[in-house]
Amino acid sequence: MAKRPPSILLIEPDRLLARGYVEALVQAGYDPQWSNDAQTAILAADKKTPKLVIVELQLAGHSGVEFLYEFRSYPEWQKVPVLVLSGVPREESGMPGELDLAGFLYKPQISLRKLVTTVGRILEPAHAR
Amino acid sequence: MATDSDRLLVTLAEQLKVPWLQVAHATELTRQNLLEAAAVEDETRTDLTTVQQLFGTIDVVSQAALQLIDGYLLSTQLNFGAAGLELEPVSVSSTMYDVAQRLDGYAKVYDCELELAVQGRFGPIMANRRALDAALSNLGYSFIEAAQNTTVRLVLRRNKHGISTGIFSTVDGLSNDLLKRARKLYGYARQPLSGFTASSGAGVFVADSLMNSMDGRLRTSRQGALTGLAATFVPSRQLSLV
Repeated sequence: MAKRPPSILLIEPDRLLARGYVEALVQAGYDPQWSNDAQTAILAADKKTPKLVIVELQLAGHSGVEFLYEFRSYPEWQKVPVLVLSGVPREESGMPGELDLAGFLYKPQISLRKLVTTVGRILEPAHAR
Repeated sequence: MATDSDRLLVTLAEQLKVPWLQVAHATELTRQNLLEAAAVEDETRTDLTTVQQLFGTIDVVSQAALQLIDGYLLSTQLNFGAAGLELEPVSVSSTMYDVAQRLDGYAKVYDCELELAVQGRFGPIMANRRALDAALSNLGYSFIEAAQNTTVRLVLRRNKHGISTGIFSTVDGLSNDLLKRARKLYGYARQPLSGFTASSGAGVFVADSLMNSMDGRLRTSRQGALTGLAATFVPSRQLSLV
């Protein structure tokens, strides 16, 4: 039986940027599910627990940090790795350390290839190139 | 203390990250698709549709970014009274049609339904054609980006104060209070319109500045189930007597 591709919950408010991330992740063999806000992301995670969450901090309505506090409050999601992919630089993000991030990428400084490499490093550390 | 122009520039720079990222990603994916196509011996497998879509995205997001830069430039010039930017009689309905055409491609890539609602016949208003066009275009781009996959409507109608022109959508979260707070916050906060859009909302503030320069202050308004931002202009009486 073929191995199922790892599911990734992508929370990105911009539809076009999301389309690019989704396409790059699909090409790399992952199964991304896109949500454009915190509420739909929580519902999507409830439906199918992701292997990785990629989240933008700047969302309309509830912020990415609010999403993470909510997400981490459920025992079954406490160990799910979270990668922040944001237009806000880390030093300006005020990201609390207790949220236990697997990584923080600043959008203007990364390519799609770099995103895919980082995801690979988080999900398959032994096979990361 | 930052001036309004400084604050608008900061908001603009923040906003411009988005289209440039979109262009960078679309270019990267196009290159990847072309490389993969070249590696496949059977040429019929070349996915030209995807490549065409990616070029289409690059085209419309570049145009949106240029409109934003041009709108900022125009609002700055209007604010210091540059020559050639005086108020003049402007056909608002023809401006609305031009703006709708310009927004059409952008609406398509964001899967939005773009509608034009011109309710009745309208004479000219006192405005500046370039500034009105830029204000409505930038407002439109902002609404499409915020709405994503819903309806965005350009509305021209009469109210008791004159002729109202604006953009409406199904997105909740806009109110006069939010707008009032956002006018104080832009340039300092990354998301001054956070209930409405995840971005810096530069298009809204550029439009606000442009409308203000033409004595047409933006206000929240409703049209049926839609909420929007609109400015009211006084009809050009001089021409309506001709």
